[in-house]
Amino acid sequence: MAQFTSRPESVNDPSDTARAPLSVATDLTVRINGAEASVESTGERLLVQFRSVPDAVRATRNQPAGVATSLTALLRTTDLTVEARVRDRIVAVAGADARPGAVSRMLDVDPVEVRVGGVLGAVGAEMSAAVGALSRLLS
Amino acid sequence: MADADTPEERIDETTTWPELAIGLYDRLTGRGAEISYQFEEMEVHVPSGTGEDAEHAEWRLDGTVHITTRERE
Repeated sequence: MAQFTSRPESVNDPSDTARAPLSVATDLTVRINGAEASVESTGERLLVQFRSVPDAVRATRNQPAGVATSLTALLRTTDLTVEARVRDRIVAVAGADARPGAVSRMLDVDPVEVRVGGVLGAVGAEMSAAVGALSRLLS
Repeated sequence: MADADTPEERIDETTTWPELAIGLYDRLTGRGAEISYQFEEMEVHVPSGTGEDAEHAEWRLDGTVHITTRERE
């Protein structure tokens, strides 16, 4: 079973002091709006792994307003970090170790950190996989 | 958070997720205790708002989650 251990020293903002640091171990599958993701914990992060970019986008639909802020408050209090991945690329980080920047503000997802490189990498990997599948189909 | 005397009272009086986590921490810590949740195709429809026309996000959970506490540093 995957094991996640939180890190109190990772929180920089005193107002977000980890007052209740928790450890979470998971063996979990979630399906959000039909998009399936595995939830594992290795090392210091809780990893939510989506199969594709469309799946990750679908999972964000129809969520309650302010859920990102509420989730972040919970994760910082418990000193946990959630990392969303697509095709093994990190596309977003929430919680104690998230460092949202200009992109997050532009997309209005702050306090969630968006990893542009990860998103581009995931899209590229998806396109590459699609081209490969098409080639196999035509050969 | 209200000035409740015991962890149980704190959990009962929570109004936010962080307060719930703090109450959970107070209840578990120092006892070597662990909370385990086992989900078997649990389905939850989360409303996007409070109105009648609110959309719903559909969550389905399958598997286990174990929660323990760590020492504050």
